[in-house]
Amino acid sequence: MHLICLEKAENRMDWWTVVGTVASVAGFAVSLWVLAVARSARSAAQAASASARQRNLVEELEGVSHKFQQVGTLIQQEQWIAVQMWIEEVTASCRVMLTRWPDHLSTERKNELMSAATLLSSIVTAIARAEGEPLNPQQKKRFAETQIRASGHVHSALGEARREQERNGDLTNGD
Amino acid sequence: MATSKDYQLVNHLIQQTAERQIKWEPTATEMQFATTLKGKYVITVDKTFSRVSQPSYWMTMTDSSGREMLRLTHSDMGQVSTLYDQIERVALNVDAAIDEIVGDGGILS
Repeated sequence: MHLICLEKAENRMDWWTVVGTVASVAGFAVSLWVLAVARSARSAAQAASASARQRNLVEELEGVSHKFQQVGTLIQQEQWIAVQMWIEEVTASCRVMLTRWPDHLSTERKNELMSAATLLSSIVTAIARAEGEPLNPQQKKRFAETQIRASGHVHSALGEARREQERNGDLTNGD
Repeated sequence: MATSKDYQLVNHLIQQTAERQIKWEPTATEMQFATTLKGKYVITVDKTFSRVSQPSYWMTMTDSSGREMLRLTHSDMGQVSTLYDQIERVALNVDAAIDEIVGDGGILS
């Protein structure tokens, strides 16, 4: 009688051990799943943040590109004081962009953005060197050509930033 | 007084310019060329004529915030004038013009 009771108790213990083991395995599986979900959520949040930053860069570059065009218009109108003021603002914007988004453009495009700022600054230097004397047609032509080349550099950077934004957008959407 | 690092930089620029690895651009300032390297260093090379008609050459390097880091003149280092001439030669496509003239088999053709 005593032996039968002992055997029953052992069987019950084995059963509980099985249940316990299954429960631990299930718990471990659930933990892994939760970890995977959390990681995926973090990646999605990071991608969304990168996408938002890229969108800001694109917007900033669009603004700068517009200002470059304004400089071109002012050069055509020979508004030299306004040209200098706009160029100072635009070159400052270019430098701020390179500081705020150091990793969002390739080195080649960063070179172009810096070159664009340098080219526009050279217009200010040339105006200052003229010391109020009227500028000759050759100088004006050089200013216009320089502005067009500088504008081209900004468009290249803008193109790359837009491409990157579209790519990030695709990743965020899970495409 | 130019240091050995300055010589290293200018010689590197001369070599890279000759190999067309650096894209120099004429600026709005007469006889000035500029380029940007590594996304943050702007190098400008200038030539001017003084009153005695002797050309002066100088090169400046500025950082991304526009601060001047280095200024070298051809009196510090003769290679600065070589660099300017090399840039001008590449910018004006002199070698291609010579190839075009010589390659046609006759100067008058």
